[in-house]
Amino acid sequence: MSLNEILLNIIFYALALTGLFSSFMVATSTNMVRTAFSLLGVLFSFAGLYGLLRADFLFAAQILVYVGGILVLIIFAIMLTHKIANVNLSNESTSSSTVIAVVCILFAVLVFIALTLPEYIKINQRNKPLTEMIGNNLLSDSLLPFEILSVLLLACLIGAVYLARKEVKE
Amino acid sequence: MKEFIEHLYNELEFLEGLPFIIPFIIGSFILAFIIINFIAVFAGVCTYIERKVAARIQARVGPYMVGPHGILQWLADALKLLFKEDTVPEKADKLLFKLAPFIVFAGSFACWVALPLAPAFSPARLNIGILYIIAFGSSVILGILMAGWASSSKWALFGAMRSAAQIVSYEVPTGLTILAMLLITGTLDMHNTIAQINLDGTISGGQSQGLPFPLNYFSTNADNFSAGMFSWYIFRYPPFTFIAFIIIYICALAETNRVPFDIPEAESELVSGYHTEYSGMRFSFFFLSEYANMFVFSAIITTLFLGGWLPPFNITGSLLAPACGIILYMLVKGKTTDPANRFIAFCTGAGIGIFLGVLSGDKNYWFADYLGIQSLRFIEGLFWFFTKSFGLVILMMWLRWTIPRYRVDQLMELCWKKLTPLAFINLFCIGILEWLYK
Repeated sequence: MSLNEILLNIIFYALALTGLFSSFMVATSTNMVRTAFSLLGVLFSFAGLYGLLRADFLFAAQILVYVGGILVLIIFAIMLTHKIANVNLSNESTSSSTVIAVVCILFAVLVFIALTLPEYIKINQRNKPLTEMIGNNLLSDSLLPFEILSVLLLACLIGAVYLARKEVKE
Repeated sequence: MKEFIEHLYNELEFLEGLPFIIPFIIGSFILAFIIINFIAVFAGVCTYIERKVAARIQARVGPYMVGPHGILQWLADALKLLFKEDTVPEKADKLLFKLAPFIVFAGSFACWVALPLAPAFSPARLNIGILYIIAFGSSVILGILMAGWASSSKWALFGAMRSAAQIVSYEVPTGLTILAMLLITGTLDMHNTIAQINLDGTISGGQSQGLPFPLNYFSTNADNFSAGMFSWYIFRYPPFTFIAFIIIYICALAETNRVPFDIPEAESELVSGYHTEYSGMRFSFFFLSEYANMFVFSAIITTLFLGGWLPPFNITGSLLAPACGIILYMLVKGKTTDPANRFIAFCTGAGIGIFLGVLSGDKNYWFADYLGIQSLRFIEGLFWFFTKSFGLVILMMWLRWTIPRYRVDQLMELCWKKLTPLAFINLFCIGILEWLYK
């Protein structure tokens, strides 16, 4: 193993551990605000993994969309909720044993997939910039799905505005 | 950066046998160290300049006691901040409170990686440069929200909420304007954005192949002339590129929470916003990040509009510009006593000089080329890049002490009802022009 590979491995494991630890915090923390901020670690470590795979566009889009957009919205929603820091759980009907069972099954499936993959994805194999390819693809081969998606998003946006707007009564 | 280290690696003999990655990592650390110290010194000097500018505008003297004309005041301030007690409010969420300043600072520090500082030199040549900067710039919001929440003070929380709402809103017109400029540049790579500008004003490899009004038509030496500052992107499609410049500059003011958009820190309402509860070193991190952000935004504008490291005039222009400026200044001097009018006269004269320089068809663009020393280009590029960016930062300070603060509703109205539609129209117009003149 060359020094480059060792370094990449170190970075990979650091990112993976950060992601694991933060997602553990997201799942177990009882303080909702801390949960939301732990999500930051998860999103960043995933962005880092994309960067490590040389998916540069995904790397930037992950941070731009998830960290700069969605996470901020989540935190806004949390902060606008009444007394979110010490919330009383009203719904505890789901038993923890069911949860553990489901998680174990999902984990088994993931391990199975990881072990049966034909070959590991080799880091550092591709040098062609992704952004250009994605852009060309979006505007040529997959133009129709792209347009349909954008119309769908626009419809969502208009729907949200309609729901949130208060009618001024005369 | 990588090319630079590669070059050193090949030149220096004692590095032979060492794998390339080791000098690369050491070089990266050294560069990061230089930049982080540059930010600290830059922020310090900025506070001094800001106080002096403010004093000048308000007809005061400003800091005067430490050093000649108070020039060492910023060092005294920095020392005071270092030695101050680091207080944490009793009811604060301790972990988040301590973490927040570092996230804010890391967000603005990370943006420096992709800035094209000089020809053939940026800390990292990223293929997605501008996208990367926007992405990491937006992660500053999270640090601010974290600080506001963790302080468990209503002033801090209000300030953080306002700040986040403001930054998220103003990202829309910023993004649209950057998109319009990307139509012209045709690349996300910050370095390539500048490197692809040819001396005669065309773009190689990009979308635009020529100006709508080719300047070389007027020039005496059409084959081999340099367009000077008219090759910058701001002069590509006037007036739409001018409008784009003004929109993005207003957005930069709003995104860095500067006056007239400093509502998150409005001291008459909110004490001092999201960093109310911070003191000492942690407070200074917010401070550093504010100035670093100002510089990053100015650098983005410099790259996208003002030609980055390119010098603004050719050699003839550089002789004619000050000459014409002084002549016009002398003409106006007797007629008006207002220094602003005199300044405008000087600038107009300098502009005429630059234009005459372009018309002269001089092919010399860089002083380095004129003197025949290629390696000087690096220093010259660095000089021009920092001069332009710093000019924009000074303009921000000037505006701060000239314009009163907006209200929250006025701020949102300006963003959503005025700037966003304008940015859309602008994007459309630039798109059409680009389609016509491609």
